[in-house]
Amino acid sequence: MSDLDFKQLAEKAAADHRRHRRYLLRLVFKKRAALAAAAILSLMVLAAVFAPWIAPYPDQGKGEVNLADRLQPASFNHYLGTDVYGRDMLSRIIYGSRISIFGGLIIVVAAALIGVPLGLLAGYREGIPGAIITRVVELVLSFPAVLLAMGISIVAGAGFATAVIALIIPWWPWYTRLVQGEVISIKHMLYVEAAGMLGYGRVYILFRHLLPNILTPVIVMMLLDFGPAIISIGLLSFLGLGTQPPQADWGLMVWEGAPNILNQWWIAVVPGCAMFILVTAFNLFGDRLKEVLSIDSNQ
Amino acid sequence: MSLVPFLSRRLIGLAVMLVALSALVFFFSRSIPGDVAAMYIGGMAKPEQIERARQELGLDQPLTLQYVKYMKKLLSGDLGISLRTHRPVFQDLLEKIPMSMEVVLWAIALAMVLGIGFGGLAALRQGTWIDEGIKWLSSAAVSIPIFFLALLLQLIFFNLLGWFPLQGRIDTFLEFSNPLELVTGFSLIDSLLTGNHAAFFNVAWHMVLPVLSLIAYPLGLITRLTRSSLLEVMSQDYILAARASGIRESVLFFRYGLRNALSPVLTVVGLSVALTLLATFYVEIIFNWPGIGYYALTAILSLDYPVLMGVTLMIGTVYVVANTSMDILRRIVDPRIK
Amino acid sequence: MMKSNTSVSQPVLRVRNLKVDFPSSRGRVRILEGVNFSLYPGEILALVGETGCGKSVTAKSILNLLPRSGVHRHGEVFLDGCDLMKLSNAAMRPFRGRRIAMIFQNPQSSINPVFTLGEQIFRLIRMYLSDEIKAVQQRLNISGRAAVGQIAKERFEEVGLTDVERLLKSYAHQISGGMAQRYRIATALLSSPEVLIADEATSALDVTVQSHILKLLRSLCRRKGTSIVFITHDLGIAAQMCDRVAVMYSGRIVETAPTLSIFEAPRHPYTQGLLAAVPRLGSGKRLANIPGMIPDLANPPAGCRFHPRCPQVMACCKEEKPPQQDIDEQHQVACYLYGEHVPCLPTGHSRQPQGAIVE
Repeated sequence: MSDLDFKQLAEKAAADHRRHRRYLLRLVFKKRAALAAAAILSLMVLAAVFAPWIAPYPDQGKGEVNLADRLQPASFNHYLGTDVYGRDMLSRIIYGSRISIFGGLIIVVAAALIGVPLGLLAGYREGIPGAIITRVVELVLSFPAVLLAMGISIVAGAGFATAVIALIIPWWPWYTRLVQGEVISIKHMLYVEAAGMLGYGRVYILFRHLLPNILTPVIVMMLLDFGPAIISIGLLSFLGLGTQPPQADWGLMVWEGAPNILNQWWIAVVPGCAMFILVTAFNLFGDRLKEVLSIDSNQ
Repeated sequence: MSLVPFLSRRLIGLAVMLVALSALVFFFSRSIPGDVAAMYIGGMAKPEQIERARQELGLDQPLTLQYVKYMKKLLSGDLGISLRTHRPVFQDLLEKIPMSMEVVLWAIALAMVLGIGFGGLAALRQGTWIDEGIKWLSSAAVSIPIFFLALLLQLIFFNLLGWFPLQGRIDTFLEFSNPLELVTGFSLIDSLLTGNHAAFFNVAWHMVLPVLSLIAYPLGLITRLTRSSLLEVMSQDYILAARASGIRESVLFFRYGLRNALSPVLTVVGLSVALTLLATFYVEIIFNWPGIGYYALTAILSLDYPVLMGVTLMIGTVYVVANTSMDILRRIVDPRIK
Repeated sequence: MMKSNTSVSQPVLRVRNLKVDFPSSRGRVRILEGVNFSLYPGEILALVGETGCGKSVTAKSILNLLPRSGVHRHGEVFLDGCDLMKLSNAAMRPFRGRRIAMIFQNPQSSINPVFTLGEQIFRLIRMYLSDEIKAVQQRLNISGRAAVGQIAKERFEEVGLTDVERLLKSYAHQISGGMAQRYRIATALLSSPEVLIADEATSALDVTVQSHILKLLRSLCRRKGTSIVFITHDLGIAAQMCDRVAVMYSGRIVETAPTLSIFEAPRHPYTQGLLAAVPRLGSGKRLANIPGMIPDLANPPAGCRFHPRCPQVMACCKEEKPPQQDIDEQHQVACYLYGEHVPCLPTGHSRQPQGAIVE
């Protein structure tokens, strides 16, 4: 076969691949729940990005106190009411979503960025590097993540940045473990061994053959980790170990509203619901993607 | 197959982990800015008082020596003295653990039974509205933050419906008329043992909302896993072969399928114990339940390091014990696990 | 209309016009397109064909074991005059295992891994053989439990499994593939069923083990009067093992004949191609292969599904499915080449087939 034929074949394969990916995406959105989840997610992300333009009271969203309007229920001035300091709840929620979404994103991406290369290494070099990485992973995973994060936050001083770092530390080993398992299971497959025999270098094989194969499970895991990451940030900030007032943060807002739960219930319920909706949307979308991909790999 | 080598390996693992953990917590908590001795004395202390306390607590010695001393005492069950309450930490833990474990064990047991039941039902009725409903509910259960759920339950069941008490472990007047006698520390068992029925029902009534809050997450997790694990099993060759030999569908599902599907579910049950223990921190603050969570949290926030050490070591131990016992169960359920 | 065979007896199992479709991402796929065959008492019928031709689906749909969601089955499956296709899943249960048994390709994965072999075979003995348990109990004057164990022991020895006590306490992962398949044969023949469907029963085994298992299967079934539908892709095994051979191609049986005539005088071009592709020692000829690929079931060729690969294709082959026709009383073939009553013009002209069409 000539070079030209190979090129045509490769182009055709790439086109097939793109078509298949579009088909899978259509399959994901065939389920209305997944579509709704995607819509909610995009709305929330947009609101977080354009918070200063969307929030009705941007200054209060950032923390400005407005004692004249304390503890007001929902009205046309304040669609979701006001909190203990008279701040507009809607603005606080929109500003708070920045913390949740941004924090969740950093945790998941950083955990994957640390965990995946280590997993590749541990899976590909099963000798001493693999053993060391495995031991470290086991040690970190043998302890409850949130408790570890609490300890780190206390030592390093409470704040958004420490909370996020404190959560990344117990989070990355999950990715290492996932990737390590995947690599070990595919590296003995014929096409990988054949590439080795053809004289391709380790790095080439690692990135050309192994990485693309583990990317799908990693992405699914990242999507499914978003919800737990957001909840974990909330768990820390609820105890005052995360974002500090007067910044808006959903977990902190629930804490501030907790003493008033019986009278001004909305102060705690509104941020709680916001968190619940965001996490549910992530979980629904992640579950559906996983479902479609597993159907696909079975066919 | 013998369990002895397996258990001894686990025991060594536990010891190694506890040493690593205690070192980590010890040096971490002592590197926090703040004067431990001053905190021990509290309030307005004179410098010489603080100096005396420092010597009393051995704080003037090098940190590594302090750690070695701490570990020596630990072996004899001495966890030191709380800086805040000045009581032995070990005694405090012994008193608080049963109160929390009572709630945690109820939550885990119920979550396991209900989760396997719901998950099995969803798999059995795959694709029907029952399956969809269970899927939605279990998704919601793992998506709701524990502190929000606890507040929501208070709002609905106390404020709106008035069915359950807002917080506490027992009504104040019962504490005087029918006080709980301490036998095992588990209040439900104690009240039954001493024939204190009024207290039994009152404590059970107070326990409903905390248990409900704690159940949600493990229940959702176990339900989802049972469903997917069972569906995976039901598509295996041996189920097809059993069906081809004329075995009843209900036997196939509940005797064959469930037994095969149980092993990954048990792993998650083990993990749930530690997660739920952590969740009690939140539930105990919100419901004012006098357990280990409440105790630990005040220690965390006030940097009471002996308590912090004690609680961490305890949770680490519970974590390992829970996982090990689930591993033993898995080996009984599934002979393939080496 | 089915021509009667030379054998005077009635068939035990008669499959008529069996059709199955599956849903897929590209619409409904017709896996079986009218499968017809009969199985006579004591006979071993080979069902041969390439992977994906529908052999396993045929086997599973006889016992209604296909996944329930979205699969449609039509046609008739008569066991002793009773149409199994009309039975509900629950009504099917007394037939499964007791009157039609089945063994699968991978013996180890078809044994439940978390129960011992004993636990599994005891359950089946209690299900199938309550009378025999009582008989053994009285004869040896032992408890019901011991009687079940005694029967299990006898059946294990029957299939050549020794060291029974240890085996009864073993799990599937602790025994070899050959032992596992012997165990599967023991359980399948527990109640002396009328029909045994062996779906690639020896394909996963080593060649030496394979021939032992085949001999065992053959002699045991002779003794118990069980007929076998032997599904395989290996023509050699079919020749060695079976009385008659049915060749399947893309959801249809294209040729049925006694083993000898299939190998000596294959009629259907597909059968001829298959036989030419079997390597023969000392023939010195180049190995032939059938050009082209098996058809895409979501979008099958019109007419005879083999026509795009057929070396003797005619115009009519592309339009209408060829009916089954008799070469002689025992040899049927679904091909226009042999239609006495179906004149077929050479390529380029087309003509509707007419005249007597068998079935």
